Amino acid sequence: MNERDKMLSMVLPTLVVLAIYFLFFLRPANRELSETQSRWNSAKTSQVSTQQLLDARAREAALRTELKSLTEQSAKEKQGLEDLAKTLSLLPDQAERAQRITELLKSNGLHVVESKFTDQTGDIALSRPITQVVGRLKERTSLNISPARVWQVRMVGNFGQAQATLDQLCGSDQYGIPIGLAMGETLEDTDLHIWTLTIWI
Amino acid sequence: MALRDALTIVYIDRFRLVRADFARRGDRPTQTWIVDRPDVNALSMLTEFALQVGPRPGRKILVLSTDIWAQVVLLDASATAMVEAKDMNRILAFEIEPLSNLSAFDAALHYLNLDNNDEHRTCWVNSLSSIDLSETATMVRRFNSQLLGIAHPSGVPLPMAQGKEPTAWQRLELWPDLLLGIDVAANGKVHALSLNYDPRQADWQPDVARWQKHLGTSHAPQVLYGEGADGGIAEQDVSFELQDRETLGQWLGLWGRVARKRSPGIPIVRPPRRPLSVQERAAVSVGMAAVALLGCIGYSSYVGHEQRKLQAEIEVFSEPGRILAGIKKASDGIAKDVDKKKKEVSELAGDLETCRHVISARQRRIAILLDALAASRSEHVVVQQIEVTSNQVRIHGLALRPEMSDRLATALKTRLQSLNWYIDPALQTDQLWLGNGGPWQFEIRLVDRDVDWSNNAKPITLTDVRN
Repeated sequence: MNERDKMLSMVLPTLVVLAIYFLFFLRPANRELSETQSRWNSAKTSQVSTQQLLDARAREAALRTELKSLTEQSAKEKQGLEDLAKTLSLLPDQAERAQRITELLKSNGLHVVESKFTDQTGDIALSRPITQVVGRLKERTSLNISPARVWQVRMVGNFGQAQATLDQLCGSDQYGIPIGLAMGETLEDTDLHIWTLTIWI
Repeated sequence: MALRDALTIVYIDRFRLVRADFARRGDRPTQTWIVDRPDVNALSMLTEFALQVGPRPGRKILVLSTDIWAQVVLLDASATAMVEAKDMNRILAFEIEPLSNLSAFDAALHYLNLDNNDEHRTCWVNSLSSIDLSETATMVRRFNSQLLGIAHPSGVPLPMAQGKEPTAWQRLELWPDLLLGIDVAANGKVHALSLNYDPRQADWQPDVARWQKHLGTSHAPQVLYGEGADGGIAEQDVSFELQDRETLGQWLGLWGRVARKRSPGIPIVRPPRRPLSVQERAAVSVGMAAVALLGCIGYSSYVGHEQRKLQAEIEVFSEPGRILAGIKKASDGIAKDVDKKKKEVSELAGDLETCRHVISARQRRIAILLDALAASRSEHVVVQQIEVTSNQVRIHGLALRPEMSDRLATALKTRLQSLNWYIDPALQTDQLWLGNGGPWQFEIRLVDRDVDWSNNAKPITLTDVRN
């Protein structure tokens, strides 16, 4: 064995150790370190500033405030619908209302021939728009709306008296909703008509 | 167990063997042994004998022997001008072969270049048999020591102590068969003179005087007697005798100082580097591999540490981002809820408005209808009957001319359009009561439309109709 071979045999274990280390440990470790370094660079450059955090928190707070306000507004609208639904429900003072209407008719010179509570059938049924409104209110509110009753009155008077009466009757919530009106032909040699007024009371 | 000394110097002359041990520091030997020289000539045996006189010798051993051939040699400058330093030993070996009686192939030598000029190259050479050198080195290893080298005891390049160490000095050394003059100038330049005869038998003073004259020195030289004084020196000269134990100790101290230097400034023949044994090679190999392994482990540890450090920093850098993402996610969720709520509020508000409008319209529309009829009445049109039922209104009447009932229908349409009625054109029938036709019986129908939940309807009042 010459000097060169002796030297090689002496350094061979070291070379083997270094080669194994390089191939199986150093390269993967360096690769991993390089990837970590890249992620470090990326994380550093994309680091979120305090101002960004403050802005985000401010936006969140503003949205929460807006949501609270909208929730309150929604509750208010729902309450409005519920209040409206209540007005369409059966009220305990129907007889009083009928009495008030009768007095109103008389005060305008109309002569009441007949008045009665009746069922909502045939031509005196609630109109489709009212039915649709009731349906929508049932959807939107928790109230179980019981349809109010219908009161029908037959009376005699001229056009002006009827017009004035209806003008007053329609201008106030205390009389109910007029849903039907029939005007018959004039009575002979007079300007009087027979009127049939139907009110959702 | 006492620690080993760092250095042992073995001095061999014709009559004595001296061993002096030196600690790592200090100019004086820690211990000195002097014994008579045994009747042997082999340098290795003499050295071994000297080493055995005391305890374990120092780690390094320098052997000084007057048996070594030493001389200042002049070489022709032109002959050695192109010679490389590595070839000078061989050239000198051939050059000194006739003088030293050592075969050029068997000689181990070391030289010190003293002076180069145009004519000569001056070399101070120490030489001995390479066999003696290797045997001595082998013998020294048996003491677990290392042979530093072998040299002639002449020419130690330091002055003997005389108080303060002078910057320029000169010494004449008288050895058996050799007189050596060494001159150190103030600038550190060294000149040497060697006279190869026994100074006790010859008149050396004239040669020395010429040398001194040539150098132009004026200071008095130190004179060192290797084996006893022999007279013949000037009165002003300072002499030292190695027979004196104190002088011997001081002189060996100078060698100790020189031996510790990396460049001693004196030719010391070094033993050739010994090849490593199989076991030593194996040990070196394992050692190198172990060092490499430790290095690898260390580097891996460093890489792992860097990796962990970077990871920790990434976590720190990413934390605000995660918080921001959380806030954004929450904000997006709230924004969706806000949109949903807005839609819900809009729908509720729309429904409420529409419901109110429808109910309001239903409440007022009969009054409005009567108002509209009154406002649109003409003396040529008579409304005879009105029927308002749940989904439609029928108006019956007579008109003198057919266009008048149409005009009434158009007027009603204009005034009542906000009440969500669809108004059919008048249905007319000529009654043929008059000579030129007429009057015309008509029927106008107002039919309910479905509720428009899009909330486009506008509430209507009696004032609107009357206007």
